[in-house]
Amino acid sequence: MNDDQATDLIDRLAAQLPRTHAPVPELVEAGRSARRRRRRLVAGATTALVAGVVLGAFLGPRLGDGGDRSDRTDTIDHVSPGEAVVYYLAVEPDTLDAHPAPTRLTARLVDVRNTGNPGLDALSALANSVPEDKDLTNGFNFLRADHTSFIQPTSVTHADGVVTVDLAQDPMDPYPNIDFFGPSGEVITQQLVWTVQTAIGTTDPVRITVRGEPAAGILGHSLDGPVAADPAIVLPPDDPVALQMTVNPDLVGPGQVVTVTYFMRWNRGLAYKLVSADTTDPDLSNPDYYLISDGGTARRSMAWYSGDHPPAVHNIGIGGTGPDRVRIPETAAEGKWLLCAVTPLVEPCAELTVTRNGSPAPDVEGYLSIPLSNDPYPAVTYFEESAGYSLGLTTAVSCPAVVESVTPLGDEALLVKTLPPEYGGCRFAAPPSTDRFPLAGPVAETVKWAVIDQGAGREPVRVRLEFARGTLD
Amino acid sequence: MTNDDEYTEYARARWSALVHSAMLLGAGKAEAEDLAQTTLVRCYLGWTKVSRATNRDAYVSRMLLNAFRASRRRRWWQEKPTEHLPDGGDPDRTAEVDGADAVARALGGLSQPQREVVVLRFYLHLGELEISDVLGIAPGTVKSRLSRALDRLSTDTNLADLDGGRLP
Repeated sequence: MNDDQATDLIDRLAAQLPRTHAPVPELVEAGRSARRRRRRLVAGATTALVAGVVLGAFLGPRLGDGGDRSDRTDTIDHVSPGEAVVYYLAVEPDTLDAHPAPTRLTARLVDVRNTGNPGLDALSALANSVPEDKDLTNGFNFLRADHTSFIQPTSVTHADGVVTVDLAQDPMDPYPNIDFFGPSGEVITQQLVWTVQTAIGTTDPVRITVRGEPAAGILGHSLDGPVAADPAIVLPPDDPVALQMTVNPDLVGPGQVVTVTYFMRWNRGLAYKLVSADTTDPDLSNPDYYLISDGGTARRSMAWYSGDHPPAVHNIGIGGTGPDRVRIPETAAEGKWLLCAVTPLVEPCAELTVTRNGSPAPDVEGYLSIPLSNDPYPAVTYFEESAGYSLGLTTAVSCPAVVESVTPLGDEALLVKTLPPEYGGCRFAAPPSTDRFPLAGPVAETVKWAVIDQGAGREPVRVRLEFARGTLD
Repeated sequence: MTNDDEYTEYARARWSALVHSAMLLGAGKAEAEDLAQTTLVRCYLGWTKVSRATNRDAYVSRMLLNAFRASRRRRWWQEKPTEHLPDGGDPDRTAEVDGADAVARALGGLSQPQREVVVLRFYLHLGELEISDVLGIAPGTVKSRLSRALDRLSTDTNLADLDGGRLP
């Protein structure tokens, strides 16, 4: 076949492709909107980052006697007495929708009153605050013109691994009723959970009650028990080369190990990539190496692959802050590199230098080691719309718990198989298992929590399973 | 002409080519439109840089390809090659659609790197040096990938029956 024949072939195919009208006005508006959001997100994202540090560091109560309701959008590098981090609702940064509903959270610093109860102080301040940034929404009080909160916290207690927030009135169906286009009750629930957890310095789940009785829900979102923080809902920093993660040491030899630590817990992928940074404008979309699993085939382990020919990424989300230990590929050339996490959203990176005289580092089995954590690990599986079966294996590599496959049993239950021990260089205390999870309804955007028993003396690990119907193309 | 005017003109002119390029790379129609939108919105954000590019179309092709690759990497499920044309064909043009479907299936039989060079070369009509720049690979690699892709298409059974058994 020569070039003309190939051109003819492709032209023949292209002639059959459906033609659509260019949505130029929408593109321009989306571009303008994205430009505005980009400018604002720089400050906001930085605050979210540092708020994560605050949470991760488990700082103690932050008490004070301030009363200023205004939030500040400068960098949160220090939380003083009389201040607290609260979370507001934000729009997905990459959305091209001209009128998107806020689905994410971003952190801000507000002044609080000193009542001796940091959780209640933070929630009370949130209920009475209005974000200065007009693109942010306070889910507690956006419903009413006078910004009266429909969520009125009266007490916050923390005992037996559960934070309990008691409210003065039922927030399930506040006036005006919920027939409107706006933030969902689910994201407002997460706003409450993240704010109170951050104030107390815990990741324990949050039970919401109304005058001592379990709350039915928030703004139409039903609750059926304590709510865990969704690690993926808080906006990560916008700048991919910002200090979202650190690498230590940052001067290494090929084949040596670096320790990767994240500043905040949010949903990231397990995979890594290595991008040459010897140029002034490293192209993160064209990495030189991928550290990924080869999926359900022979090796089933994490290994570095050439960026030119990576296998399909089989990945699983994890939510921990590390420290991960990553072995630099033996073939990495001397020079500057960016080590980046591969995530569904922003990809955090940290710069390191590979040198033949790099600092020695301890060996690590395989190329990746991730510490035991009780953070939830979301495992995402999609099902075909009509057939309703699992699309092959949801191959994933993670420590300490991995979901290998999820198979719906009709619309009644899910069969979840976890991986065998010592998978991908990780050591598992838990044996391989197959568990049956009953479903309350059809398999559609369902979230379930699986608890993986790690054996005597070790904490069980919770794995968040997200299911949705979907098609491949 | 203002930047917005210039951008509007460019977006209108390139929309179809970007959507079709994404579909030829393996995206479905809706995903292809999303990728074209993403690419063109990014063009808007960086229009100063885009408009000054030596070869603007090649530059934007690279943006599209990056968006396509990123969308594939970010999928949480195993990929499956697209072997069928998306719905939207004219029922009165069955033979043409069958032929196009055969071409689509043949493209689906190429590796993704081969498919990328084929789309860039024979649909977007970029030169080998431009493709080398877009993909960030050596010109020799472009040549070898193209050569292997054409060899594979030449022997693809999906294309054997086109035009009475003759390849076009």
